[in-house]
Amino acid sequence: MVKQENTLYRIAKVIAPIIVFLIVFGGLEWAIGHYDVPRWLISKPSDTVQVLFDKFGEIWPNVWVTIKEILIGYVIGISLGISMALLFTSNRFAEKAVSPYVVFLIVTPQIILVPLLMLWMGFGIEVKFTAVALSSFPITMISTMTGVKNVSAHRYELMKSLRATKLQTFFKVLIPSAIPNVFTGMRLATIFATTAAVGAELISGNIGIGPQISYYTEFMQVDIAFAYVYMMMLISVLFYTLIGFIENMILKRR
Amino acid sequence: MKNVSKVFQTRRQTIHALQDINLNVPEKSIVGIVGPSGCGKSTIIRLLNDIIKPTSGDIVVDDYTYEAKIPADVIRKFGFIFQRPNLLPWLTLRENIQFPQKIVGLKGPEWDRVVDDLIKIGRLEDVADQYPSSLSGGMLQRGGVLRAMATRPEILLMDEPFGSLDDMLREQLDIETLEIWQKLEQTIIFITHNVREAILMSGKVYVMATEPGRIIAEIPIDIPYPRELKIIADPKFLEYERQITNLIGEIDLSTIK
Repeated sequence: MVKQENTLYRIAKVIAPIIVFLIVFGGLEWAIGHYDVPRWLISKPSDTVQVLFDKFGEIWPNVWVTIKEILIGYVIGISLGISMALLFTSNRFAEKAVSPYVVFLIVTPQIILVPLLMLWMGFGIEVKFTAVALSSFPITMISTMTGVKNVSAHRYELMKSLRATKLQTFFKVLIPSAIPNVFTGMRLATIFATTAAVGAELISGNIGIGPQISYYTEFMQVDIAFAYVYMMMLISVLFYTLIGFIENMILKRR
Repeated sequence: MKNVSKVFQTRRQTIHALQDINLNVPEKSIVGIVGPSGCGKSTIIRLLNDIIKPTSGDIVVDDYTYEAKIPADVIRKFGFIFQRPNLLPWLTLRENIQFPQKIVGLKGPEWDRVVDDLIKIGRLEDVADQYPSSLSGGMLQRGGVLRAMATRPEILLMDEPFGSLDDMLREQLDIETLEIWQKLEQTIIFITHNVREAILMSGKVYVMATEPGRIIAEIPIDIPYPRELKIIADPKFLEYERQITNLIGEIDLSTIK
């Protein structure tokens, strides 16, 4: 009996989101047709998907540019964030010295630096992945610092009672203890990274998802603009899920 | 190991955490230290384990008197059991028990066998490869006790080892610890605020009082091992319990005034 309910529940868990998806997109499809909304205002989901396939040769290179910007910037950003967090927490004074400014880093939109970055670096991909790196590193750093600071004192005491070296304590207790927080930061950083990439593209340059959406909207070719929006959504979701998946792989055993 | 005797005196700060403490712990015996909170019980353990240094007085293990830098082979004689199991969540139970060996650098099949034996003694074979999150509180505590034994220490220091558990589970674990002790024959020094637990475990109980932390009585417990849980209803046991409770009670009243 209980078992039956469980399988039922499991099926429902999979089906429910699909139903919601159908309602939203089906409703959109129907409403746009029924109320005769002009094509240059909103594109039907079916048209969007159609365009996506038809023009994939043109769309994909732009999408790929954006993906590259996100990935390169993200890797630089989180590496920087994690290493700076470890550096700052390794020393009491270093942490006290920087912690007031860490807040500045996180609340200031890094996008505002893009015009300056353009001045220094030109119009290339460097500007974008620098912007992505700048956006994804503060959240990773803060989260890692929290993780390092919250390592239970009992664990340090254990290491002390075993006369462990500093290095042993670092690798065998500090790092594994902090890893959940590191991943939280990395997961949140994906959101900052994707936003920063498209934002930087909009300000500088004409290739990538951001400028394409802007370009096609100006020419009232909303269906292509929507195709890019869909791609962007797909990238963000996949990216976020991927990091979450790696996190689960590593932490599932706990 | 010959005779273990430890003598320390005043730890002289503005707070006299411990004053003229004299402990004599015979080899392979269990010595309990009982007293109210704040009497410096834990300080004794930390002194022994060299986490802090005494202000004056000497600590002697076997023939070795504690100095500024204590050689590794003396330190290795100690195993430390914490108030909470304190197992690392990213290691399996087996890896947790083996952890101290890894840290001090004990490798090889003979040390693997030590771990296997410990798991067997703790009757944890079935769950040895599981992670702490899937184990019960009692199993975790046993894991914590066994981990302290992984480096084959001769002296176990237990700081309110099962203090965070309910009475029933604690007493059961006390009995299990006694069983392990009879198989492995270490010296155990353990600290508790629970009078019954002290009597149940120890061959000798030191009673401490607070402000300054000092020993007010040394009471040999004349109940033969192996002991079972039912001895707590024994008249002799109850007499000890009454005696120690009174000692602690008097002190408390006199400090309150």
